[in-house]
Amino acid sequence: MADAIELTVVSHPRWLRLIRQAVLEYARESGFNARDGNAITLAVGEAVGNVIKHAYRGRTDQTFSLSCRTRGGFLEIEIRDGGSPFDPSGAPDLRPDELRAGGRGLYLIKTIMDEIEYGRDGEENVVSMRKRLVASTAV
Amino acid sequence: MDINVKREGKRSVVEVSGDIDLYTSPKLREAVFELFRQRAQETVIVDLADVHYVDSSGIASLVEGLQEAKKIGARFVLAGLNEAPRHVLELTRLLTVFETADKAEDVA
Repeated sequence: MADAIELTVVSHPRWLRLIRQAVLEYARESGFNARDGNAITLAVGEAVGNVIKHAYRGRTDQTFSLSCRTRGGFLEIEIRDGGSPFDPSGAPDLRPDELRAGGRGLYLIKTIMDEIEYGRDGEENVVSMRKRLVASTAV
Repeated sequence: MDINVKREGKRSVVEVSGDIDLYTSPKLREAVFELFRQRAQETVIVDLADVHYVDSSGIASLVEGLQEAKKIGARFVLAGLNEAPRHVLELTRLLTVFETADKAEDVA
């Protein structure tokens, strides 16, 4: 599927559900089954949660953009925000069986997605996550 | 997300419907902790039969509930896990940490 989508969203967690619905629909259109589509949606939700919690430090009146495209055999999701530098790819792994409350978001992203990259573009954080397309839909 | 709490003696069922995410998980945490504040030594069952999405903040709320239950000697059970919430618990290797039941009414 060559079509790309891009959303600009206010940094309020009430819009997480809307973002998940869009990403799930895009993943399904790109050939992922329900289980993988839900997992990709979870990873994106975690990444957006990090934008709200860390890059924008809980401010709910900012905006960020989220785009989905298929390219080079991958579903690629890019999130751009204008918050404080926050590198999710550099955060330490959590010992997953450890019984502590927080800190599992990044672990989930890394477990679900095949690649995650972080960069700064001017004043923006840019997080790119990629998931390899299933064979029948790979382009 | 909606929460309905049913109390049956020392046993309480927290019925949750909808998504548990960064926006809604504080409400679940508050409902569970309110039960623990009101009475000790009870069984708290979180009925997730109408939940199809749980993120890491939801997992954190459930882990906090389990930690509080252990602290006061109470029982904390997750019931009715659908595929996606179960998958999240598997991915985070927490599925075996929680006591689970197919249905809330199965918990003795």
